[in-house]
Amino acid sequence: MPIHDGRDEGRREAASTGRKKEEILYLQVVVLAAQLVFATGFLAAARVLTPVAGCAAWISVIVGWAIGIAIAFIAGALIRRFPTLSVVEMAEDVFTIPLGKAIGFSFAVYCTVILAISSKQFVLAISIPFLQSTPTEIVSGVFFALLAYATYLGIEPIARVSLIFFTIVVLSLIMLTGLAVPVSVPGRLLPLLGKGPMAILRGGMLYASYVGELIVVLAFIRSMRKQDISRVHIALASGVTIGSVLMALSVSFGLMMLGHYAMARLTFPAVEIARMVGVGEFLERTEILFLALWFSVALLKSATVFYASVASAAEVMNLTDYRPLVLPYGVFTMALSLLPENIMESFSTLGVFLKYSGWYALGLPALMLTVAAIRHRGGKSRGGREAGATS
Amino acid sequence: MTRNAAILAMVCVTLTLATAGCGEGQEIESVGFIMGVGIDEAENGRIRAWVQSAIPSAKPSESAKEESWLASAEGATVWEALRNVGAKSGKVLFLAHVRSLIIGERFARSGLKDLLDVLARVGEFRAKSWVVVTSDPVDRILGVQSPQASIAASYINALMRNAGQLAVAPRSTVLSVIAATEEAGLQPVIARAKLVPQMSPQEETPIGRRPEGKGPTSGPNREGGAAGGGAASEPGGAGGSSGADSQAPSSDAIELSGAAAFRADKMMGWLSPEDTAMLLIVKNAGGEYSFIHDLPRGRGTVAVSILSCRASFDLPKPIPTSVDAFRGARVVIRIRGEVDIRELASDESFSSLDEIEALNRGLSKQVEQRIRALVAVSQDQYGTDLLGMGEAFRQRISVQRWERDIAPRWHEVFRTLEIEPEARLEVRRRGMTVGSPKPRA
Repeated sequence: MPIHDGRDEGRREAASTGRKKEEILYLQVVVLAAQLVFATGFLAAARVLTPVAGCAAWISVIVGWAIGIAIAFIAGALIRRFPTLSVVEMAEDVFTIPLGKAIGFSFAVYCTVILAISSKQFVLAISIPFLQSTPTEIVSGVFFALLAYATYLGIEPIARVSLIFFTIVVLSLIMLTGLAVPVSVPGRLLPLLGKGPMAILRGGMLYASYVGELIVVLAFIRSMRKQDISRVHIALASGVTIGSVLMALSVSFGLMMLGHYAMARLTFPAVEIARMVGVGEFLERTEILFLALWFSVALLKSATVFYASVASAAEVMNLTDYRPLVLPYGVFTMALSLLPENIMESFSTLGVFLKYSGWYALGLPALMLTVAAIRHRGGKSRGGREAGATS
Repeated sequence: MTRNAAILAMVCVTLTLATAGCGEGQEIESVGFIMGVGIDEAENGRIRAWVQSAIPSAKPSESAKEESWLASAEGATVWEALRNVGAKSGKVLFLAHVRSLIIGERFARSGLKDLLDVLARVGEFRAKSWVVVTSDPVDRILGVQSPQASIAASYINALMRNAGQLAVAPRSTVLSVIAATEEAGLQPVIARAKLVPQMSPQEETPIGRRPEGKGPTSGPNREGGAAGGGAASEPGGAGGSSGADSQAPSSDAIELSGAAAFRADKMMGWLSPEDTAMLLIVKNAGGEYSFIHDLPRGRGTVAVSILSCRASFDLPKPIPTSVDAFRGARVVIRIRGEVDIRELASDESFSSLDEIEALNRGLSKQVEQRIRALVAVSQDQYGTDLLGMGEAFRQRISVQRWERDIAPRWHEVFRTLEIEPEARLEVRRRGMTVGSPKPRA
């Protein structure tokens, strides 16, 4: 159902989604933000952070959380300045259309890389310990088929389902933490500063890459309910905080159970923690239960990123509906995720991404906000596309 | 729209079925659930592995029999030996249910590194599986049948749970061993399993020995009919602990008593049950340790159980930061605990406060003496930091200094420490009576 006039806000929304205007609630934004921060990263975050910060890796998470809060507030300020625009439209408005398209393209690439890396990580986390004889391509194919279907339905269904599963997953993680207490040795977190303050900061910057994935919401945040948009920065900050608490728990309990030397060599520390807990001899081998739940949030997070990617790509290409892109984009990203031939190659790619993506996540909204302020674009300033304004 | 959704659903279902691996499905009957794994080094230097798998009964009424299948094979490495055992099995061997891992002394002394590598890689292996070291033939340990559990691996599982309560052996798991080997300031201490005779008072025959003619109705079905798993069935295949006389004597029982002391992954020697109990107290891992205290001047004995106990290290201040500064540094092991009087074989009643104080002092002194003996074994005999003192120092020294200067020479440094125990045990309970029953003439 192509829309041609593009004057009405709802119609313009429909132009990019291809159907009725979608609406996501404040709590759903909190959950989506938290999911973006931790849903795939927590499987391997401890392995990434402990070689850098040692036994103080959990403090690096706190440092990264502070950076995440800064990103949340900057992104929040940008969103409040352009409450009805997507990130591509914001970029076009702030930087002029050609430059805006380039920035929009870079954003779509950023989302694509997140999707390729995170989906690969999660597929490996299932394939290596559990589905050893199943080809990775098959697991990946199922994963991307589900992602494509979720994306086809739109961001609102993804947000709704996320709200349900996220609660269950948080409960599962709290339960896992409780089961891990008896086999944890708090002394393994000492010395408190681990490899030192600079190492903690470096770890914090790495973790900032995880929290930086928060900016994916810029692609669809205009779907947030209008009366909630003034509190969008609080919603994003809350999501970052919840995600970081879960991440800090995962890292710190991993350290307390195995020590930082062991954590640094484990393929997926969170899966290892789940393997090591149980309720006496009554409930053993619980990792498969946990992984099934974690798989659901990883899927929902990936679906969110998938949606953000195709929606942004559609806008860059001036398409009225993102749906025709879903299938080709899914095949492309799946192929991209299968490029690393072995797990070490996959980890290496992840390492490069984590090294630099934090800067992009921090820089993009900061740059857009600064230029918008200088050029008096958006908000109540003249000449910009105000709240509810049309292009 | 509906048609598209239906097509998509069909694609998803098809892919899900493909993911489930139904093409190479395995029925539960074709899976061998391994309950116990044994590893030892053969005399020819090759690795010998044993697996004990459960044979589930089809009938619920026969489930108590717990039949098992025991087989073994050799290989150049741990993995090859395990793979060779698998080649003898008609079922796919599945490691997810392993209860106990039995390591032979010879293998333990040559180092656990290769075994730990395999265990860390195999995703299905239980990190909470018990680990024991034995000086007896591994196949004889795995061949033991007990009326309490006819599969030796399950028997060891029950013993390990009890051993923790009684503080006679450490509750060593794969997880604890891996964690300890990776820290320079921690050393693995693994429970010792040994064969002991056990008599059945009812039959006046050893437990497990059946009346002639009835034949075994349960217990290990030995591979190839040879005793000791496949050990005797292979030419020259007798392992270090599985010689030709490896027929599992059904009169044997397994006892967990004492521990194997390690430096990194190599076993250095055995700890006596008393030393093990003291070590568990020092590491705050003890259960309800009981001991007999001789009263002064031959006034009899008192048996006590330590109900609760807390040990801590008083490290020198400031904390030494160089190897030289560590030499001769004084560390106090401070122990505070409460005891319960279990038995009083004496005419003393300990009814006055002075008598109780004297008893407290005597008990504390006895524990201090035993800890000194443990420290001597740890520092002088084996030269390995069994007490975990290095970990206490590591937590207070910068990571760089610890890793660069101290950790590589920690065992050498540990031997120079002046370690002094300081125990304070107090009698808190004395059972349901304040005095012993006094028979009257």
